[in-house]
Amino acid sequence: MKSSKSIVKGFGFLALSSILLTACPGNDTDKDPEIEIEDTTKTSSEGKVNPLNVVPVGGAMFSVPSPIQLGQIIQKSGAPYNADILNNPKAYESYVDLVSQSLNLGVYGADLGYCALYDKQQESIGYIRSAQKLSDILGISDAFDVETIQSVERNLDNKDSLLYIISNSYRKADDYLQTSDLKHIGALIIVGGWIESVHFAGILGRENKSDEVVEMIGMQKHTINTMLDKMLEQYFNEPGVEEVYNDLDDIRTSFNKVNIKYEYVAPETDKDKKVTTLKSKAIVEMSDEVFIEIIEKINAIRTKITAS
Amino acid sequence: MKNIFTFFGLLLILGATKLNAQCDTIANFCHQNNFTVDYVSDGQNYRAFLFGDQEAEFETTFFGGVTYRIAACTGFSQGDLIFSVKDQNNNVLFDSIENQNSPYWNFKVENTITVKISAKLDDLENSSGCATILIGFKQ
Repeated sequence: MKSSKSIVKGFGFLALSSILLTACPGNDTDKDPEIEIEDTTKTSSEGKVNPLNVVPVGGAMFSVPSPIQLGQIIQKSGAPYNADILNNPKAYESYVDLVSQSLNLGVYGADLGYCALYDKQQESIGYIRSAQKLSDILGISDAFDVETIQSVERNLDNKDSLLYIISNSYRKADDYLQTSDLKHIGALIIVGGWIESVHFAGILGRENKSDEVVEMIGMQKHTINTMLDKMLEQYFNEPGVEEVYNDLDDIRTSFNKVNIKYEYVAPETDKDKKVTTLKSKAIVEMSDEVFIEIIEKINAIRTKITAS
Repeated sequence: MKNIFTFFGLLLILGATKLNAQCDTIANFCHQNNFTVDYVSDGQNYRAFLFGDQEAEFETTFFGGVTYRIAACTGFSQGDLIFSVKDQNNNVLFDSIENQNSPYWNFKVENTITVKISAKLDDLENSSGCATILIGFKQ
């Protein structure tokens, strides 16, 4: 009986531990050692947190920029709409494995956002239907259900509402995938969207290498480290994930040649308007050769993904 | 003995399912109550289950010229989750506790920077909970 009690206690502890681990996957609090940071002021001690008590969110310590957000920066730069840079909306039929379906759902999300930003209504419909087909196959049809499609169709001439609906659909998909055993699919969707949006920026950069584009691409150094070390590395046991990791790891070697310096400037807060203005600066240093090397590698992986 | 194993097995599954469902519902509540059509979600949900004084933390890039909104929730009343924004050197750029535990805040970003967002429970309200943070950007 004594041994039964021990087993029960042990199992109780295991049950509690498992619940906690399910809710808080991973506990990696490592810092990125590759980023060179310069600070002109003294570090605040108030902001320091006991590292043993910091929980990484969703197993990732870094978020990936939204493809719609990157598309918005490109559109605001004055770049004209270019249909040739988008994936073929009918290509979804040729994606037969979970990895290419997941990556291309992310690609279509970025394409959809791009079309919506440029008020391309018919093109938007084409991409949302492709996204719906892939999400059905992946078992996340709730994110692009009939109601969502109808809502998109009703709001085709209202860009703000359209972008709101699209981004919320991807958030719902992320929500579902984070609470299922399909987390690797969620990670691949995010990776696909990121590759497509950096591909857009690369095309723009080839035509006009403005400071804005250099900064946008250079700051992806943080993102690629997160995608590899915090997201994809967890799912090596899933078929095809390691290959995606290796392709991105090759791009990381080029990003490692980018230097980012940081300068702190005190922020200003307007409590009445609930707005804080952040004035600090990060300066991206990247040679022309490294810039071209990165966008060529991005283009190669993007071609591989969309052609598979 | 078999019944005991079955009981704890069920407890484990139900516990995990309940926590996940709770986080899922809170994320939707948080979105509905703090995001209007002006602000587009970045498509991700950042969350962790916290106990006591644990703190959840992640990094993100804020792009120059963009206004962001961060919303933080841990239950179905607003302001239960305290959140802060720090720079790479741990300089505090914003802390919601100094702003009446506001459930959301807007950040006008002049230059592209990487920031750390962290969240902890308001210990007067909760001893544990699903911390959910959402980020949106102004259209």
